[in-house]
Amino acid sequence: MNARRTEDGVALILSLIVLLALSALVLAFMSASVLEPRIARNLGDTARARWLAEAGIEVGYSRLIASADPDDSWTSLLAGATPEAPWVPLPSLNSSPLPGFTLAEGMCTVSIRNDSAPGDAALTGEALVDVDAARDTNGVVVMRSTGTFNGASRTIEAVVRRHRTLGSPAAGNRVRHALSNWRER
Amino acid sequence: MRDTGGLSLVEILVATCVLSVGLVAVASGLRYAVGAVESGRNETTAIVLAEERLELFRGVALDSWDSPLLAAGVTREGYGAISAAPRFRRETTVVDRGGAGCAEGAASAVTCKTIRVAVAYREASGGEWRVELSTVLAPRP
Repeated sequence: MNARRTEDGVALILSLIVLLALSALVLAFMSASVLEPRIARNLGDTARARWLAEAGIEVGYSRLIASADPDDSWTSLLAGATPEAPWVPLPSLNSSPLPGFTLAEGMCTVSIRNDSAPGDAALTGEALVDVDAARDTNGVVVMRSTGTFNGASRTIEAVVRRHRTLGSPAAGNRVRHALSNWRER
Repeated sequence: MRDTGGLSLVEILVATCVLSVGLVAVASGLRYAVGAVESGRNETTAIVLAEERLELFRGVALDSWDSPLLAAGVTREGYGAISAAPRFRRETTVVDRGGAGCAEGAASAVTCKTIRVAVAYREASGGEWRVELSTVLAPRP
């Protein structure tokens, strides 16, 4: 009688314990696995934002090449820059889709600032830095491009410089441009 | 002796029933979880494949802007064409955009290239999924 009472229902209890252990394992696996698609989506959004920022640098670079002040500077594009707020967005590249892109593909902001901030000599590698935030005398500016897609955003900075190389009078003077010192922020 | 037998047939039947119903639920949960991990893996692979293409194009553009790889047009790699990922297909579209289409004020001789890479794959649950990355390349005069 005594033995019967202790062994009664043992199979049911054992199966319930096994089931409980298994479902705990599966539940843990499930809660980890629902994160997986979200991780992939974040990765995709960040990748799009980064390539948009890269595209912004390229478009901004073309924009800077196209802009030619009479003195071979970018002073006109730096209008309104102050030491406290040195970044000036390039015209039509201020939180807008890039040329050829739709708004659904993300937005891009490309700004430039003069190399007049403290420590800029180390960033640009130029011995001669500018003093006035709104006046470019050495043909060196820092460009910053921020790509935004679906809440993710990536920022890239690069140094742009222009050099006037003197050719023969017939060939005219040639202005060379360079893009360097990329860094992701 | 009969009373101390412990496990009766009825008891074992009930336990088996409970266990099998529970196991079916556990198995379906497991399938769902494996499917979620798999779709995440596919999407990540597709993103990497698209980025790989963009990086290649950027490298080629910096090396030789006139490379035939950068000519305007569409390049299609069907399923099986990418040896490392045969279950993915890739479509690369290069569009030339000259002058103001490249950047405001740019000379008409300046031509930017818009690169769009779309990677598609089939999910085990059916349907084709797409990941698209795009960027712009500009010449270095």
